[in-house]
Amino acid sequence: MKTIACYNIKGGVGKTATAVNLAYLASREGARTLVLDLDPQGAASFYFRIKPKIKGGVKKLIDGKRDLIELIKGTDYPNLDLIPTDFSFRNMDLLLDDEKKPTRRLHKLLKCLEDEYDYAFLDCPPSISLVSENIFQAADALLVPTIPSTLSLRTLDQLLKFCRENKLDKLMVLPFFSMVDARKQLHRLIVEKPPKTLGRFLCSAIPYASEVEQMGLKRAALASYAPKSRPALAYESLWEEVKAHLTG
Amino acid sequence: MSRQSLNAAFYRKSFIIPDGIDIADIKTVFCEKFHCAESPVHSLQRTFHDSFDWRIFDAGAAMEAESRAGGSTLNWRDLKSDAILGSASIEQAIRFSWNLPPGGLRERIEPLLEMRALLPLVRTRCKVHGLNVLNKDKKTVVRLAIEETRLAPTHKSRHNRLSSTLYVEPVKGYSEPFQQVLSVIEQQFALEPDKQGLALRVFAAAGLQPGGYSSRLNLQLTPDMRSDAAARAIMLRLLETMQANEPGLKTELDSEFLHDYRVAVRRSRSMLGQVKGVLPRAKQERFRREFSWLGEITSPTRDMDVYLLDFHAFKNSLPAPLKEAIVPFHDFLEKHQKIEHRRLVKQLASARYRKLIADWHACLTSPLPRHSSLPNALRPAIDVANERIWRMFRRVISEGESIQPDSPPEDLHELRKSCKKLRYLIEFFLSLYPRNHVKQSIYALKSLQDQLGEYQDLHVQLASMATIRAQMIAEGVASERMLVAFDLIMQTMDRRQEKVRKIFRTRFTAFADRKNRENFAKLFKPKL
Repeated sequence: MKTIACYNIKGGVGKTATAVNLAYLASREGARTLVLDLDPQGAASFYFRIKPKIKGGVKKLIDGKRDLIELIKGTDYPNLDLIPTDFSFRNMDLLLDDEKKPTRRLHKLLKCLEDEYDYAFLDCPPSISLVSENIFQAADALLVPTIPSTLSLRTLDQLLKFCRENKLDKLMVLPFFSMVDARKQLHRLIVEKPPKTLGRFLCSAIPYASEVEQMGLKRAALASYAPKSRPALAYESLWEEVKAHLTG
Repeated sequence: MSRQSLNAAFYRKSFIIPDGIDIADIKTVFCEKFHCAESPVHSLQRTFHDSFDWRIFDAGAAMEAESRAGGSTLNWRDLKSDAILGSASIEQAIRFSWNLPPGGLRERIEPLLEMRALLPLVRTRCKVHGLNVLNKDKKTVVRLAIEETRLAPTHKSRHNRLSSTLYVEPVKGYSEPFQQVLSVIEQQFALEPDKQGLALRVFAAAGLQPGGYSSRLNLQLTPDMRSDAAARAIMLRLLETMQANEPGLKTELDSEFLHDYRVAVRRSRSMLGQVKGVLPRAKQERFRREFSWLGEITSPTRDMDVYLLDFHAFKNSLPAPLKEAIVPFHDFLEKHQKIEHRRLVKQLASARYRKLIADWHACLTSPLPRHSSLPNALRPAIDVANERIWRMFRRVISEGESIQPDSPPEDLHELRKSCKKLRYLIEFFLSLYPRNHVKQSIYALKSLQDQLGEYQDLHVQLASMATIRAQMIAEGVASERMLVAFDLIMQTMDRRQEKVRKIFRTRFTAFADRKNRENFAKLFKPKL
């Protein structure tokens, strides 16, 4: 199983849309796919029409009294399952802190799903915390949606610095531009010439588009209702690139 | 928890819809009882595949290629659970496992199919009525589908239309509505579960018998039966194997058709040579000569097939800079394989071949004479079998014991031939002996045969590689780099041959040890 975390320190950059849409594309190809909604806001669970609630909350999960497998819900799409979030996930940091190896807990929890799925997508909460460190340990790739703006680039810089300082050499960090508004000159400039200090961005960029916003209304993956739209095609291209990185 | 246990509770259930029940009525009942969303009725084509020797079926699965408006997928469906355990999107028909994209499905079928082609056996057309049961959030909690399946018009069957099937698929985490749907099916329609599964129903409707072909003899002989009857039964089965493989051999579906055909030819020759006195001498001699001819005319194509099958191993044995240099060798093999195959097909269409097969069939199916002057014809099969196997076993032991470290390769070749004859004899008469004990003898023999076979194959290949090398130079298709690569392959083969030669003594000693001799004697030594 390949674990792909959709992560950014900043919120509102398109993490959930990325996790949901790429997971949908993977499942459509026949891959056994799981989305793990780690964000207590529960947007991914909402998109899949699944209640953001787990019995016993996150505590039982971290204590090892419940198995991730028991929490799996099938989505409306074949091959695509979800583990919903719960409001108690907001306390995950505190609970992890009480564990023996606090940064490896998520990695251990996911281990039991290793043979069950081909891909696991983690929809991560914003901020950099103990939860984030767990994500870095558990993921094969960190997919970082980045708005082409000064503040977003700054947070990407912070993330890369964190990875360097914590010797996360095995973690593949894959930033890409998200919510690109071609009408804005700054967006155009940054996408054309991203700062070299931030390493290489993936070639695919997701445009800012109303079709993506409609995911909240339709409560469905973009490609299921607007398969030929620009952002849907951009997600397809992004998924091809991510797969190439994972297998290469 | 394994995948099996995680998904075990989520396998779909299927029910047969009898002819008297209208599909529209079923839909109406579900829409009344549940909040349902109906998907537009759509069509798909489902083609059931397997190898000629039913390797997928023997592994407990069916291989379905599904084509619909959105594209095509190839699915591995487990026959017991009816679950899809492997799937891949495909853009065109898949003939060999290596044509599949890398992934779980390929990993599953590559070791199973090996060089065998995946053949489209039955094409069906299917009309799908989809119905999803939704919860308050309009989330799908149970999937229902009614499928109307017909065999494609290419299949000449009287039963082109199969009974429709209702599938009920649970969604993980929503077991309650699934149980409610099952209750409705039981209470309102009392439908019978589809115990057979669609694949087996489709095969039956198309008149196919899954597992119906095997290159093994699978004969049931009895110890007291007349030897001439036993010999005819064995040789008739071998003839059937040859005939079953002939169409695939001619159209080159895969290289195994020729392989199985040749094995049947070799076994027939061996039978004619080893079990004498059951056919009139003149006939026996004529057919032996003719089977020898069949061996000769099929050899060149098989040689090319073997090189082509080994090509990847050849390439992988080379250092990286030379891997591409060997590609012209592949082109050469393909070209000459085609030429040899065309020659072979011509021979198989010849009057000589047709007459041979017709005469052989007539000879084997003619009524058995009540009396016979042939020395072995009327003897019990077990006596002749014991006599022949025991004599061949002793020959193998004596030939093996006389081989020294400096013996020429020809001596090992002779021993290999004797081992093969012994193996064939045991396999011909397998059903006359206690299975477990014979298996032990075959196991001991196989280990020796593997060593001798590899040694001999390398010996022959080295000689013919030298010929091919010269031929490629003559045809102007050998570059300097290719020749270097070619010589490296030959050096590797030469080294391997030396290594294999060294393990002969160990293998033979194991075969000829006291315990194995006793086992052979107990089984086969004629009782005086």
